Amino acid sequence: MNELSARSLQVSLGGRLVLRDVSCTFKKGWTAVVGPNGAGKSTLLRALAGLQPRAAGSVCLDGRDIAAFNPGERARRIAWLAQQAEVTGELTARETVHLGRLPHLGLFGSPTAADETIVDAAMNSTECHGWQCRRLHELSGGERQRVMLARALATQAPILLLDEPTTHLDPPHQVALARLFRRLADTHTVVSVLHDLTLALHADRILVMRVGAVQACGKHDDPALHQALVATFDGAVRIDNRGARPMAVPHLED
Amino acid sequence: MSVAPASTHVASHDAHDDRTRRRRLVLALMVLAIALSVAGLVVGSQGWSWQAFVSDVSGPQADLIVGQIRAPRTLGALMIGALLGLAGAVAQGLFRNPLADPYLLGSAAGASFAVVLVLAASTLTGHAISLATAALLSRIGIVAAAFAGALVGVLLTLMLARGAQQGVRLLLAGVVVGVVLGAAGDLVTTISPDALRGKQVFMLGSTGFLGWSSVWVLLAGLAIALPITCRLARVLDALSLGDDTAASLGLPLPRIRLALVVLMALCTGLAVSQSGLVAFVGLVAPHLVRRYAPAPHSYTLAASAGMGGVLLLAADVLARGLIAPQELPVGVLTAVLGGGYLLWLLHRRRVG
Repeated sequence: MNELSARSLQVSLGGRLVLRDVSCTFKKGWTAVVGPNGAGKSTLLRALAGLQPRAAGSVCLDGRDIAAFNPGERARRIAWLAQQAEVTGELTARETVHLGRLPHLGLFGSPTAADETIVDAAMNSTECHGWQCRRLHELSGGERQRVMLARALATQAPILLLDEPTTHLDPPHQVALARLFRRLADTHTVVSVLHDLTLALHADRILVMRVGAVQACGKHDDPALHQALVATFDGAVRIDNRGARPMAVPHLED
Repeated sequence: MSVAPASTHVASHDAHDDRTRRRRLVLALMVLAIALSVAGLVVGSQGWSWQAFVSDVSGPQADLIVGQIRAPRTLGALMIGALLGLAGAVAQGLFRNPLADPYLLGSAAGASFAVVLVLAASTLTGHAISLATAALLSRIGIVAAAFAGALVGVLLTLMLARGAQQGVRLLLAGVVVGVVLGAAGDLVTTISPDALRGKQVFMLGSTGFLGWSSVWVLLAGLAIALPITCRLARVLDALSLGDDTAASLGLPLPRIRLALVVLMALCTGLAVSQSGLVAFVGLVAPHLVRRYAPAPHSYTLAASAGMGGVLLLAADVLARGLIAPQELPVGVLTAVLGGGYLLWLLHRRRVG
């Protein structure tokens, strides 16, 4: 099933309500979460991953409260990618991706040949095999982001919660990542926060957020979704429907 | 993902090169440990003199001088250094701060306060004891007080920080506990000035009191702490990517963090209880390891223990021989050498 849902979810940070009564369900497929800065997108992903204490409401994985899962079981079902990778220590790219096997190996297990194969596959899919022996702090932002994504993929979790995975990536790698998400969407539940609205419009579903609430949720060709996008971004974008897929275009005219 | 052309980055670190450096460091540490251990048996009140050593081992007091004094002191210094190096590597990984020190969590302040209390109490009750006492009960009393004090210091820090979940809060709580217990210790020495001398010896750090009983206690501590800590190495690796990423990997962070803090307190408390405060070994040993052979924590932890042991033993041999027949407090020497190393490191970074 791999269905992740939030019901009347409220999250408070520093006394301020960051998520207000959010209800949404994520099923197999690729969902892009969009919205202006401070809309609560990252907080929603953290709450869905079970990393954020809730003020009210529930988050359920296949109908069971996320808090009822033990940490290892939860990590085998849900992989989470941070908005910005924290980098201390001396790990190489490969050693970092290897950490994705932790939920399966536990603290005391040793990696097998199968784990190495999975790590190789994850690194190949984000094209970071070429610098597997370089240390994280030696990589550029984009290279590091691809390593971190490979780390998330190496968990082999059926649900991927990815907070701005395209940050720091050049256009070819953004496109390559979008293709990867589309492939994964056949078998995985992929939820990604994106700022590139045109890229987001290639997702199966788009969830629009503003000031801690869901404004709209729909498919790329849904006119109501287009209206919600324009309104949410205060008319700073317009949706161009002339191509095969709609495009978000900056609205520069006064 | 499929982007053409493929990345043309040249790997600056070859995996083979990394492995070679790690092996070389282990080999160097083993050779140094053996060489310094031999030096530790040779160096006595007449400094680095081979003739004096030959005369010592062929004399009637050979068993006392070499077997009962120098051998346990040498092995003890090696193990105290190893415990401090291990605790330092854990502290730096746990707090994701290369300047974290094993004494940060109130263990040093707790141990020195407890020792001052015992010394003051013994003076006030008319049964004055000193750190150099040979009387077994008094010696055990001081060691137990230092160990208990170190653990109480860490517990106070944990209570003040409301657990071990938040690294910054834990560090700040450690600083507060250190200041308060330091002031309390000063107050006790004001009331009982005789305890001041004992406190001073404790604060300077010395390996001069180590006997075989110390060696067995230290060995037991190291045999418990080293394998458990190395087993938890992957947690420290995961923590280097941030708390949330580590938690998302299914690690029960609050429990594991507490376990690591307790292990760190065990190592530090044990070391401090046997030698007093030996500065900088716990800070510098992991630095040197990471500088020469950067690696995941499974290697860094064990190598830092080895490096700490070699550093303290080298300092001890130097302290014994530099101004023989006088002896320098080993803590003073490690402070001077360790401080000098950090200054040099800062200078290099600034120049870089």
